[in-house]
Amino acid sequence: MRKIDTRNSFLVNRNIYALILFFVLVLIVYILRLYYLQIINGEFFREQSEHNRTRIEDIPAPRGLIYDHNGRLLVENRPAYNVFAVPEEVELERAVKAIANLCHLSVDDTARIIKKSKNRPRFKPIKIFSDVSRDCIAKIEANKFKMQGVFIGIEPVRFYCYGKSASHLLGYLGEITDKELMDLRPKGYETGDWVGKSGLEKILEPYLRGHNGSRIVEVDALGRRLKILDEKYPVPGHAVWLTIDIDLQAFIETLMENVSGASVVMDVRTGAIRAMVSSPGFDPNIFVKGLTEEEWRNLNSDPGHPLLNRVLQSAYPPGSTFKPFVAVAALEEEVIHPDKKLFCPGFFKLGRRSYRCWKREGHGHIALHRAIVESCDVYFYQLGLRLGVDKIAQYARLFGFGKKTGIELPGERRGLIPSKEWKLNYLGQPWHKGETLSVAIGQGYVLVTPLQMVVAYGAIANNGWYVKPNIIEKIEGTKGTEIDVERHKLPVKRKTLQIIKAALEDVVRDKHGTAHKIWDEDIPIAGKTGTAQVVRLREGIKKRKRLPEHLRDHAWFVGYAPASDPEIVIAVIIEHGGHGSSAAAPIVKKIAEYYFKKGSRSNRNDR
Amino acid sequence: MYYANKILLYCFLLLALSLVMVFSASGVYGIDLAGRADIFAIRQFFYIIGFVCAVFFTSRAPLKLMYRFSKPVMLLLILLLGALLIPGVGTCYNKACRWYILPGGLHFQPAEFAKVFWTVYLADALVRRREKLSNFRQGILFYTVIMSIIAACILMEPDFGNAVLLAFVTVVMLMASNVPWRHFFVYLLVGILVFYFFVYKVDYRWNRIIATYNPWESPQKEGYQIIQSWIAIGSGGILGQGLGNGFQKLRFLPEPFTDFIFSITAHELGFIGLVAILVLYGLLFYTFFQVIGHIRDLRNELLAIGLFALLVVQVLSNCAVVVGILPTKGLPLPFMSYGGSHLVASGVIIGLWLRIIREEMGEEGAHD
Repeated sequence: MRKIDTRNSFLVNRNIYALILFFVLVLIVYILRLYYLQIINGEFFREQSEHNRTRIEDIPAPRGLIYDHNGRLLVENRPAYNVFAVPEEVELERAVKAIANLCHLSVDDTARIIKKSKNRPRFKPIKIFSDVSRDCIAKIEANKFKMQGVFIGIEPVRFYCYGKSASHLLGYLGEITDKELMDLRPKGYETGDWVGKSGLEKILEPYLRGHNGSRIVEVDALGRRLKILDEKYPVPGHAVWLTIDIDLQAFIETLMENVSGASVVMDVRTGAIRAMVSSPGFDPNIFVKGLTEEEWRNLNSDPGHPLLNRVLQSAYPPGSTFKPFVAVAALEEEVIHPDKKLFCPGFFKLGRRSYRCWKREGHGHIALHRAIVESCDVYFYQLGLRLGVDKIAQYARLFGFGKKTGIELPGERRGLIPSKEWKLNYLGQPWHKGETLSVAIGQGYVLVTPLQMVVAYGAIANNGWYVKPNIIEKIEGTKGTEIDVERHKLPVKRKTLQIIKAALEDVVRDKHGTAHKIWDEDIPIAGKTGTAQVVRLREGIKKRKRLPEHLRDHAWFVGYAPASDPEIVIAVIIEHGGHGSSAAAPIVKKIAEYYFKKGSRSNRNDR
Repeated sequence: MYYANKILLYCFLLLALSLVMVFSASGVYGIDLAGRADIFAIRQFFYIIGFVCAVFFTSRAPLKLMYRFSKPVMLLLILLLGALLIPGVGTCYNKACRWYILPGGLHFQPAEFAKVFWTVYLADALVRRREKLSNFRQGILFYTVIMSIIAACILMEPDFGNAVLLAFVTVVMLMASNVPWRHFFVYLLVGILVFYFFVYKVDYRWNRIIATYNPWESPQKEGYQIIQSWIAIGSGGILGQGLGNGFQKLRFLPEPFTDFIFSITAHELGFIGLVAILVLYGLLFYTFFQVIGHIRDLRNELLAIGLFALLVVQVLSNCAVVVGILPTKGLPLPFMSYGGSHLVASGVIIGLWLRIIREEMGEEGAHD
């Protein structure tokens, strides 16, 4: 640089060099700063930058599918479109209102959503509507420019293909509760996960639940995905095949549509449950959206108890359907010879009380066979007295009453088979002989579930082989493609069972049999009617049909078919249906007809 | 080599780099805006043409003419700046209303031109009235008040960066002229008042200042931009992530191709690239400095000092912001940042330099 003349210059006058020096110093400071940032701390910031651009996203694993015995899909997964809002970017209340207006949705729980959003970071999206329709999605997308901070997320949810059908055994899912979370957290569950709350969804939770995958994605600052860096695929839950035949199930459901009751159909030899109907039912699809408090209250307080699986969660007095087991006890204990006739005058006197037979004019002199066929109460009163309650209980328990069958469904009830010891322990009172009479005809304290009934009759039909009922045919990926049949031989003489079976066959075949109405040569059914008293009727009230419905008797029919070579065993109970012969037996007939006709039309598979 | 040629060479090197970096940094935004990644680069190219035109026309205009018209032009610009404060007149982005939309969709930012013409006006006025400058009222106070009016207009747009720049250039020029040193104590007072009322009392600015020195306090809010800028610069390391490979521009760092293009450059080109750029700026300023040494005319010298300060302060403060020495205030990096107004305004500045060189040294004396 050339030397500056000594002239009238600002630069010279005011020593502006100081300013220049200042700039140079600043420049040096910058370079030092850059050196510090880039070279000394470079590694730290590189790491930060890596953090910045990647997010780990969960890929929800599809839950295992559920098929019926014939391979029909019962439960699958469908995408649900949920609407999320980011509190930081949009006022929640406004967003909820706007979307509700757009899609004509009701907004009863805005307050709940807002409350929920209070203790979360504001940049985290919160779900404001779940499972909205495709129309709604289209509208939101079309108005997206107006709705900053609102976006749509997709997650797989359960879809129950047959709606109400088989709802009790399939069960439903619900959001995990804090209590459940405590137990399940070690297994990788998190807040907000959905778990099986009832039925098979609950029991099979470990199988049906898959392992969520994850993906590491590169995102921009708005969280928008740019590319996928690494992906761990989710492992879907195991598929499950049930023993249920969904057509049969649906058919029985239509038969029982307007009544309360239960029906169960079991394969005699394998214990495979072919149908399990509890009426009234519910549609598990309503749980997918998440019930509001009110909906849940309504469902729970419904006098019909739609959530109850009556087949195994309800215990009823068995009434006359219990008699064959008393008969077995009597023959095994040899308290009576099968041909020995006892007299039935229409009542039985014990002490000062008179116990009636259902047939007021009496059955006259009657042996065991006819006593079962015509369901003579007085005959069984006498058997009961000869046996004593403890012997009856012993044989009843042998056939599985009073304990859980062990089927793969939650909430099964034991029922109740009373004994002297039981009464003393639980009621603190000694046993009365009169109570034995009630027990002998399946009344009094005796309570059984329809499932126990079907299993016990199955044991008779099987000539003494007790088969554990099962509903899961196979689970994908488990050892052994099919679940083994669990069965054992009951210590009952073959001869005894033959006598009982002959009698059960004549209940339908014989002109005098209580269920002769359903006699059909093509499908010979053997079984037993039952009319279980709900309340003890005072003498004098005779016209039972006039009774208010909730006081009417429960109607039972339990039977198997074909009578000679049993294939299926069916139990039906109609709550407050009146007589077993008129209310329950016709349904059993229709079920058997349907089962065998369907079987002859299509291939009956392996059985 | 001619000073003029040197200046143009450095400028065009920087502009070429700018085109590349704007392209690299704006791709994601371009796709969002127009569906194509190169939209901002193409616009920047046209702005560079605007820059060339500004250089060409300004360098043709005799400085006498410039000085004569600086007053009416300045008045017009003050009017335009004032009008921006009326809601609805200007166009706003991110709550800052700094622009007029010209026919053809061009954006015109009066503040960018105000600071250039203010420099021209000040150079003329301070030299013409240099005898009166020792008088406090007619000297420093008079110009400070006018400057404050303009700066206030700019500040209320709001455009803190340009307002501060205007004030800074004014101070430099007053210091370079015959204003007695003691008069500058008034700035201490004004400075404190301005700081108190326009910074300390305005939450967002105060928060920004806090955030600059402790950004990890609020990494999602005020501190976000500076942290992201550090991450961008720091992760660049010595050699950088490679041109186009940076991911901080993927919306992590706000304004990656305007005010924070320096960060993205550091991110992708690394320490080496940055030092190269700083050296280019350094060479440019050194050349300016050499030119100043040759100027004989007082008026031109003062103008040159003002223009020098204008560019140097912009470059230094922009760098200071991105490396976290000064609070963020929204100043573009001359020649590098995307933007029409500031490029054309820079063109005018360079055009003025070329004119100064031509008038002071003629065709011959322009080499060293």
